[in-house]
Amino acid sequence: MQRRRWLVGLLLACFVLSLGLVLAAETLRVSAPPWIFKKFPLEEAAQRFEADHPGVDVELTRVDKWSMGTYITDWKNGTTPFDVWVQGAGSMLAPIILGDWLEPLDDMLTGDMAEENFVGGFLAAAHYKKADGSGDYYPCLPFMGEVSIIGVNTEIMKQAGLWEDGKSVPITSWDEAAFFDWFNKLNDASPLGAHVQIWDREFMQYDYCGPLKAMTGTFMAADGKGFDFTSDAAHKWLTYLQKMNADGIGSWTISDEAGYSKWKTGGAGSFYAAQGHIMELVGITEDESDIAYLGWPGSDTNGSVIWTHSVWIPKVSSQKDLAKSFIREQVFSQYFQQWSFNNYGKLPTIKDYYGDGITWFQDQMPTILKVADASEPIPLFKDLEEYLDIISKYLPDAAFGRISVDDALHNIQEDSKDLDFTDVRVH
Amino acid sequence: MRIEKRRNLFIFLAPTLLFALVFIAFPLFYSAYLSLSEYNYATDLSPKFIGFRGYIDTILHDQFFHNACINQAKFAVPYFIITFIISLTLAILINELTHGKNVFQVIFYLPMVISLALVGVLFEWFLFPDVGIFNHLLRVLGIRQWNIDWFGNPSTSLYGLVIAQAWKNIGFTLIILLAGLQGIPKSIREAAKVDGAGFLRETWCIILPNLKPYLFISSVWVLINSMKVFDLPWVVTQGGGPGVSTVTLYLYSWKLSFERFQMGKAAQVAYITAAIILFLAWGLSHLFRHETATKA
Repeated sequence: MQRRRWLVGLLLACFVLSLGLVLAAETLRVSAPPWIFKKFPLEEAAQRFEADHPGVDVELTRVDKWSMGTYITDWKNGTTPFDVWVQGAGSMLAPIILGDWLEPLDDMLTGDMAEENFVGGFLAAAHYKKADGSGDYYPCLPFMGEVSIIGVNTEIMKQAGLWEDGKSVPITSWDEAAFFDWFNKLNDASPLGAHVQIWDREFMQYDYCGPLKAMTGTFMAADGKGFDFTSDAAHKWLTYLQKMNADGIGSWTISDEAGYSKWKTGGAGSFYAAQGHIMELVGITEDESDIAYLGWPGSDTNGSVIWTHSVWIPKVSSQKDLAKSFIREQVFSQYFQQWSFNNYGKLPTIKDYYGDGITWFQDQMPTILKVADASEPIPLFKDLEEYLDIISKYLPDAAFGRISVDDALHNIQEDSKDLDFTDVRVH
Repeated sequence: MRIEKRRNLFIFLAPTLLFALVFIAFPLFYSAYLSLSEYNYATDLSPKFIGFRGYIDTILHDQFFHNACINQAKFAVPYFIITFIISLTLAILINELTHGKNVFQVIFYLPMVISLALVGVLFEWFLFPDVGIFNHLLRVLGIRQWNIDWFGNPSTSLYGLVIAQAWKNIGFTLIILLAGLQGIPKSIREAAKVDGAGFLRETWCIILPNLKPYLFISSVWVLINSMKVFDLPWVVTQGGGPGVSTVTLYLYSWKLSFERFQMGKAAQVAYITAAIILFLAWGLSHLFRHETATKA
């Protein structure tokens, strides 16, 4: 009888203990799209965080499809399916920032993550005006940076005679003769064309704005209402794009996949894209010396276009402190930021992480950093989505030579004159 | 007894009624209300009623709506003609066969069981610029100037989608028409032959008039499919590209909802699309009115 009592008591104690453990355990839900799981070691980050925080369970979710409508519905009801979201570029986040759905992360900008420790424009890409007009804040923090830059296939450059003293010969100026002379030389040695650019809805912004920024120092219209579609530089660049395509120098594609395919076959001379995507060629050739980087003429001082991938916390999350600890301790750790660069070429956002620990492309880092430091993100206009629709209606057509440069520039201005160009970012 | 019967009837119907109320009637009425409102789902707390002002603004001033209407027409007209003519021709030819009818029915129906998204991927590869089979064939045949990026060119991308969707859906229309053809009494056709009618005359004077109820059903089905185009541009041309050359009405409605979060405007576009479908279906029903009434 007494043995039975002991047994029941023991079982009861076990039950209470388990219940206590379950109730005491905290769960941090971290969501990200599949590509982040590939290019940023989230599983390892979760394991490390759990080891450093006994009693905390990190629940990782791969979200195949970005479903902001569903999340907003949850947030309106005071719930959220995740506490931290790892990823998020500008235009994707604009609606939820305008809706004031994100937790301010200003208090995280201390210590190693102090504002001055971030790279040039990367942090600026996360600095927004408050929706109620009461100031500004950081609703997200950039943990990966991308910079638009020209990647060249070094073997083809050598064959084209554009390689001197172990370095690629840059495009000397925006002068038409010099510009096309450089590309013509490269074209003769490139089976798939001298230059690849992706002209989908996203990349067309970088294809157009990056070179303009290098040429003049800005890609914005003089009155701040949209991109520059009126200046001589705008006319010149769009004319060059048409000529490059017509002469067979420029191999334009309308999808990421087609652009990457052309570049990864190793038959294209140069590729204007995010530096990380350019590095993907190494995944095929397995030799980092197959790639070198160049800026457009003037980009070393005027910069190019950058964009970032950010981490953020929904305002209604009940695990904000834990989420902030995860971001600081794991997402912004030197190890994880450098892992992402060393394996996939994604740029760290903290300056100090560009030194020891970087295992490849060390000789290219000064060029990349120089361009990145002088660069700026695409503004987040209130009507950006509609603006992009208008631009994508004319700009790719002009680049492909289907409509005249004048028509394209005029139509974009005409169709977008009533849009709201208030930038929700702080400058 | 009668009351009990009614109660039982209600009990058995209740789950279905509840389902219809929650998942059909409510969304229908709520989206109708939204279409009369201005509502940014990301920033507004609730919809603001504006009446028909939104509809007027969309119809008169929204250039993307106009573009989507043009794209929709460019898609619908060739799709309707191709699907209808090919399936009718095939149905008539298969019906004439003495052996192997079932084999051909299965062959032509097979694409119907493939998902539309997969059909899109299939055609994307088929028409791929450098390595696609179609372009390879063109090069082999010496028509190099036609070796282009079919989905990458705004002038051809929409027609590439037309071919893909027609290829998938021809089988279903064919089955409907074949069922109609098999229902035509042999005695009428034999009488026509005795009277000296050739194949074409028999088709024109006997087969087609007797087939009209089935032509009506299949044409409405083809019409609806020609208007509800979303999956293909979403998958193949990455959401309506190049530029906005393959943005159809439903795709535009989706973009308004989930890219711009303008729920009111999105509902307006969806209701206008539904109204166009209803109007065209009404037109078709008038075209075939006499025959369908007689048949019924």
